[in-house]
Amino acid sequence: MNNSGNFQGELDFISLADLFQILGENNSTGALLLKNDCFPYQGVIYFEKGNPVNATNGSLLGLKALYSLFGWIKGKFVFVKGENKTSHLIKQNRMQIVLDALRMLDDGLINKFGDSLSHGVIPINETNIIKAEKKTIIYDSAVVYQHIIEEEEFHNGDKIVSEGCYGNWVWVNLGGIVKVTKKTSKGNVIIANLKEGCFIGSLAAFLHGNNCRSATVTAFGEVHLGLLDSQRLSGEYTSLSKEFKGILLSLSRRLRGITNRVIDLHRKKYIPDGFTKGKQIIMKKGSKNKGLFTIKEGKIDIVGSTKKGDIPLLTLGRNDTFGYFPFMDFGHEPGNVLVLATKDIKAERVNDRLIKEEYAQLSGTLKGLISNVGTCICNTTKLAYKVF
Amino acid sequence: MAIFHPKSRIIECKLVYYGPGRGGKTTNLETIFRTGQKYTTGKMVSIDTKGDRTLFFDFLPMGLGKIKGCDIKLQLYTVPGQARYSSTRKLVLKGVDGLVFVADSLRIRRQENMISLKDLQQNLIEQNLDIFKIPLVLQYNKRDLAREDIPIMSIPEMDKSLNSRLNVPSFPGSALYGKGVGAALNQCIKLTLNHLNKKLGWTS
Repeated sequence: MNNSGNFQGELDFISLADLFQILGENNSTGALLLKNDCFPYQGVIYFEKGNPVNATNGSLLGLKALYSLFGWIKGKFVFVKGENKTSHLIKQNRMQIVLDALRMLDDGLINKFGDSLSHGVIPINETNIIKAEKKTIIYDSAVVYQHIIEEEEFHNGDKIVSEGCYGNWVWVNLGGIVKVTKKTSKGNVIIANLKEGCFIGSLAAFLHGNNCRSATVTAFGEVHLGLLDSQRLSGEYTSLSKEFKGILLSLSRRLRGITNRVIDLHRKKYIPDGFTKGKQIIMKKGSKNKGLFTIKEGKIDIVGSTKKGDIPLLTLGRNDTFGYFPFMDFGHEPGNVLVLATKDIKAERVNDRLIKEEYAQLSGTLKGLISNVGTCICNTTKLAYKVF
Repeated sequence: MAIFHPKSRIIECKLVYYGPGRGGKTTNLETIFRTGQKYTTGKMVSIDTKGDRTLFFDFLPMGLGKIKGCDIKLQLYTVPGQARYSSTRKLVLKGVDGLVFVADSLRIRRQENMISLKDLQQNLIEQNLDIFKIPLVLQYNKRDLAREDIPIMSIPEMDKSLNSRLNVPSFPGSALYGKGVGAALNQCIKLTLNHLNKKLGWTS
C-alpha cells in the first residue's frame, strides 16, 4: 500500500465505521484507500467535507460499493487528503450510511472478508429480503397483550406449524416475518408472508377438538411470537350466539376455499368453461345489497373478474354465510364479486344488527383474530387474481 | 465519551435509549424529535433493524447552559436489543455518556426487562464501562395500560426487579402519550453533565 497518505492503519484496529466518524468529525476531504488480501485491487471511498460522495470496489460503484466495503473487516487503510475529481453518486447522510451498513452486516447481507478468505467481490443481495417484505405481506395492527401467556423466539427456517399435523395453539406475531406455505405436487407454494400483528393459527383451533393444520408456517429471519391463551379465547368463543359462531366457521371455510383455489391455479388446474351453466346470478358485481344470509340449501359460487376473464374463487354450501358482513370488508361480496347460485338455493336472512352488536362486545384479541381472517381472505384473493 | 469540537465550541454527548424490544424506546425518541423539532438539527435517521428500529438524531436543547464556554449538543440513539445486531450495538454504545433504560411495565415482560438490563451491563463491560458508574435513569413505560385492564407491574415491583442494586432515578412513563418522556431525558442529561464535570474537572 502507498505510504504517502496522511492517516493510515489496520481495519481490525480502527473499523470502517470508526473511520467514517473520524473523517466526518474532521470534515475531511480526500480519498480513503482500502486494501484486503482477498482482492487484487483497492477499494476507494471519496470524502468531501466529511461526507462520502462516491466509492469503488472492483466493478461496483457508488452506494453498493460503499456498503460492500463494510465487509472488509481486516486489511489496511490509508487516507489521502486532497480534492477529488469524482462524480457525487452518494448523497445519503453519513450516519444513515454507517448504521444501515452495520445493520446489513448483522443481517448477513454483506459478506465479510478477513485475511483467511479468498472470494471474489460479491454484491450485496437484499433483493430476496425486499421481495419477501413487499410481496403478499399481510399486516394487521391488532396486537393485544391481554391474551398472551408466553413469548417464544424462532430462528430463520424454524417450522412453527406443519401442514397436516394437529395442534390447537394460536400465536400473534410480535416481530419478524413468517411464511405460510402449502404443499402441492409441484412443490411448496407461498400463500402469504405474515408480519407483526398477524395471527398464526385460525379460529378453527377453538372449534374442534382436533385441529388439523392447513398450511406450514416457517420463520423467515428472527421471529418473536406471543402464544395466546387458547382456553380463555375458546371460552369466549363458546359464549357467542349460534349465528355468530356459524359466521365465524363460514369465514374459516371461505379462507380455506380461496387458498385451495390458489393451489389449483399454481398446479395449472384451470377452471373448465361453462362453470356458470345452470346457475343464476343472485348478486351482481357492484351490488349495494346490505343483507347477510345463511345458506339452507343449494350452493353459491363467488366469482371474481380479471382482465383475463371470470374466475370462480370458491364455493359455499349449507350453513355458510354470504352477503354484507357488518363488521368487516374483505373484498368479496357485495360489490366486488359476482355471486352465482344453484337453482335449488334457499337462504335465510341474518339479523345483522344483532351480529354487529355482538361483535362490538368481543375482546380485542378475538376481534383481531376475526379481522386477521378477513385480511387473509382479501390478500389470498389478490394472489389468486395474480396467478390466474 | 464526550467529544469536544474546538472550532465550533460544541461539546457533543451521546445518550442512548436501551431496553427490551417493543418496550417504547423508539416511541420515546420519536416523541422527543416531534416535540423538540426546533432543537433538532437535520432529520432523524431511522434504520430498519428487525424488531427494534435504530434511531438517531442530533439535539441541541436550550437552557442547558455552557461548559467551558461551549454549547452542549446531544446525540440521541436507540439501540436494537437483539443479539444479532452486535455491530450496530457496539457502534452506538461506543463512547456513550448517558443511558435511559426503557422498561416495559407489562407483567408478562418482567423477565425480558431483566434480561435486557443484564445485556446492557455486559455490553457496557465490553466498552470498559460500568453500569454502576455510568449516568443512568430508568423509565417504567406503558403505565397507561392499567386503564385497559391489562396486567402491569406496580412501581415498587419494578423497582425491586430492576433498581434494587442500581438505585438510580426512575420515572413512570407512557411514551405513547408523551408522559414521562421529558422527565426521564432531563434527568439523564443532568446526571450526564454532572458526571462529565466531575470526570473531566470542568466547571459549569
